[in-house]
Order: sequence, then C-alpha cells, then structure tokens
Amino acid sequence: MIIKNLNFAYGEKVIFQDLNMELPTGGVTCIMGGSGAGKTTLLNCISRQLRFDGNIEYDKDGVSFAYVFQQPRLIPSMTVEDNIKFVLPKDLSKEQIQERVNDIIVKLQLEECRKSYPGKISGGQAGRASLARALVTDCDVLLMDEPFKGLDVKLKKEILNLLIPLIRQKSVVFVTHDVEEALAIADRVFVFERKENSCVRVKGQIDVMQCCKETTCKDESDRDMYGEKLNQIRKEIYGLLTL
Amino acid sequence: MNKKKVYQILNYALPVVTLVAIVAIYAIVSKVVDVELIAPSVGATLKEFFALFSQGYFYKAVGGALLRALIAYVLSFALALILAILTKFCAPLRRAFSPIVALVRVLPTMSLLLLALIWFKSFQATVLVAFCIIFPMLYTGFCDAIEGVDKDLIEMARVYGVDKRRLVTKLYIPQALPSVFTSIKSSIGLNLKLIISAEVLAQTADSMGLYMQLAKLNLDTAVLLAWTIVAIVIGGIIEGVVSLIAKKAVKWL
Repeated sequence: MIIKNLNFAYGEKVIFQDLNMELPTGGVTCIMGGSGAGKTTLLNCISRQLRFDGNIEYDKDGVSFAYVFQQPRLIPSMTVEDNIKFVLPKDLSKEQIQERVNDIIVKLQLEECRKSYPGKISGGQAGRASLARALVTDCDVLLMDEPFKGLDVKLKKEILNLLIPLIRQKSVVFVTHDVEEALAIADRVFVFERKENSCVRVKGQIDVMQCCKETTCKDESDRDMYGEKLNQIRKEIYGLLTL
Repeated sequence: MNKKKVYQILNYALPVVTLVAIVAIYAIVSKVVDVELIAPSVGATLKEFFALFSQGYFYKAVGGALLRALIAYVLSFALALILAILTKFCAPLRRAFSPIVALVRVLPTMSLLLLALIWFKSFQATVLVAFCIIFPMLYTGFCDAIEGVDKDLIEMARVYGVDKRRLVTKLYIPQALPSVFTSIKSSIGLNLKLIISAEVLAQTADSMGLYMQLAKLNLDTAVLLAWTIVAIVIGGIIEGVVSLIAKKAVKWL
C-alpha cells in the first residue's frame, strides 16, 4: 500500500498534509502516537470512509477491507453468529457461509455465545465476535483500531494469542497506544506525531520483524518479549512516543 | 420467597390493585352522591354493560368504530412511513414537507372536524380527523426512528461492502423497530379515542359515539358509562396486542 501526498482536514483543522508512507503487503504494520495524532483518521482514509485528496494505491484492483473498530459495533438485533454472517458476500452458498462461520467461531472460542444477542454477552466475547466478523471475510487489508481498548491484561493476552496465527497471512494495519501490544504483534511500527496547529508527521519507523530475525525469533509467536533486542525496540518506541 | 419473585408478583398485582381501588373509590362516590342520574352505581353500570352484548346495534357500532379506526390508522401509518423514508433520503422534500406537518400538528381538532363535516359525509369526516392527528405523530416518530439508527453500525456495514438490500432489511428496519413500536403504542389508543369523539360530533350512523350521545341526551348515565367501559376495553385489547407483537418482534431488548 502506497500513500502518496495524502491531504485531509476536519474543517479548518489540517490533519494530513502531503503525507507519504509505504506499507508493505503482508504482515502487521502498527501505527502508534499520542491522542489526536491522526491514527484512526488514517484508517478511515484507507477504508475510504473519509474523502481525502491524494492517492492511496494498492498492489491490486478492488481491494477489500475488514475493520475491527474500537467498539465492537455488533448489531444488537442479531445473534453473534448472524453478526459474523452479515459481512459475508452473498455469492457464497449457504454451506460455504456456515462452514466459514463455524470455523471462525471455533477458532475464537465463541461456541458458548454463538446464539446470544450482543447485549447479553461479556466485553471479551463482544471483542472476539468483532474480530471473528473481520476474520471471516477474505479481506485483503485488515484494519484494526485499538481493538483491545478497555480489556484487562489477561483477556488481551488471550485474544492476542488467538489472533496472531489467524492474521499471519493478511496485510494488517493495527492502531494502538499500547507498546506491549505493538511488540507482540507488529512487523513494523510507525510513530505519528501531531503538534498543536500542525499536521501529522511520521516521527519514526522501526522494523520489528527484522530486529526479531536478527535474534532468536522465527516468527511472531516465537517472540521473546523480554529479550535483549525487543527491550531495545521497546525503549526506542517509548523514546519516540514520549520525547 | 426471594426478592425477584416478590418483585414479579408485585409487578402483576399492583395494576390490578390500582384498578380495584379506582372502582372502589367510584363506588364510594356513587354511594355518597346517591343520584343514579349523576353517578350510577357500579352494579347498574355493569348491568348496562353486559346488556349491551345482547343488542344487535352494539356489534354494528363497535364494528363501525373499529373499521373507521382501522382505515384512519392504516392510511396514517402507510403515508407516514413512505414519507419518512422519502424525506430521509431527500432533504429538499423534508424541508418542503415540514410546514404541512407543523400545520396539521397545531390544527385544532374541533375546527378540523367541523370543517370536515361541512366538506364530507360523517364517515369520511371521522376518518379524516383521526388521520390528521395520528399522521403527524407517526411521521415524526418514524423520522426519529430512522434518524436514530446507529451511524457507527451503518459505517461498519459500508466498510464491509454490505449491499443496500441487506443494509435495509438487517440493519435499518430492526434498528428502527423499537422506536416504531413506541410510536404505534402511543398513537393507536389515541386513534380510537379520536374516532369516538368525532363520531359524537358527527352523529355518525351506527357508531359508538352516536350511542354515547343518545345516552347523554336520554340522561342515561349508566349506559354512557357502559359504552365508556366498552371503549376502554377495546383500547386496552388493542394496546395489549401491540405490546405483545412488539415483545415478539424486538426480542433482543
């Protein structure tokens, strides 16, 4: 994904001015930065929810998206299972739909609440249902906007462990404030900065996967979160975020 | 017995207690006044109430009122729904239509009825009056219901490329249903009340309103009260059926 001269403003408030970025196909790109740094706005531009000037080019035509929002955004009048089915293309047969839905429900451990309405399930189950809805699609780009916001550490870890193997083959843009989340999941990290009355700039870019490869990690699931190399990256990200 | 069970019993028992209390208070008032013409006894009223069921004109009057109420409500409902959908997607139409709705909303019921009686026959006049009151209520309610559909959910559906048909049937309609039922519940009882009021003034043949007016002219207060109870029972049944349908249709709440 190549972002070329991206310009966007909310009225008088300029967010992006000639922003240029290149996000490689495949792997997880993490976008970090303070509040109001334009992270969610970038996702909304990528998913074409916002109209912008400039170009966002993809390596193929008709790119499809899935989006995991900060809030689960489940339809209250549908069961968890129907919420997952809702986003599947209508050209699939009933059997194909059922097979895909069953598969993702098992993978994300949602069997217990598949027939429940969103109002009757826990926050963790709602979060997993929202992930299931995104992952059941055969999307080219998966956008995730702080999907674990508000979840406790244990639940977050559980969901991350379920999620990592499922997104390995996808191109993911993952927005988070949490450095540990980024270290656990990201292949590369972009840190955004937006000072008062100015537009967003990319303050730093770190190739996490490359650093992992140089050390002991074979893939995402094999990361030594407290190893020397990741500790160095942790410090670097904290530095970019706080300076 | 646990608190939940007590609460459940109270939930059902309290309305019955209130109803019995109202009847008891009326019985005391009737006893104190002791004039059948002003406040007939509960027994005399109930006797007249049950006597109505053996009269052929009773069924004609009730059927007539229900038919007029049904026509007025169906017309109001259909037009309000169509216009609410059209104005949602066409802002100029909404602006063009707003003064008409505002005008109909503030139009005094009596002047409307008197004008309708000059222009139309009593059947049409009663229907028109109920329509003119119910339609703006439903229209406003339906507009609010459509506006109230969660924008975040619509945005979510668009990102996932959900087609328009599914967006309407699976998202807009179910999301709007609770508010639609609230509008229906608050207007359907009023609709019947308006029809009966209009029947009284329009002297519609074979109508509940006409028999109420006749009872008043004959100073037969017990009969008037009996017809009032009939209207209350019918209104209660209609609202009960709507509540039941709403409960079935909006089962996720």
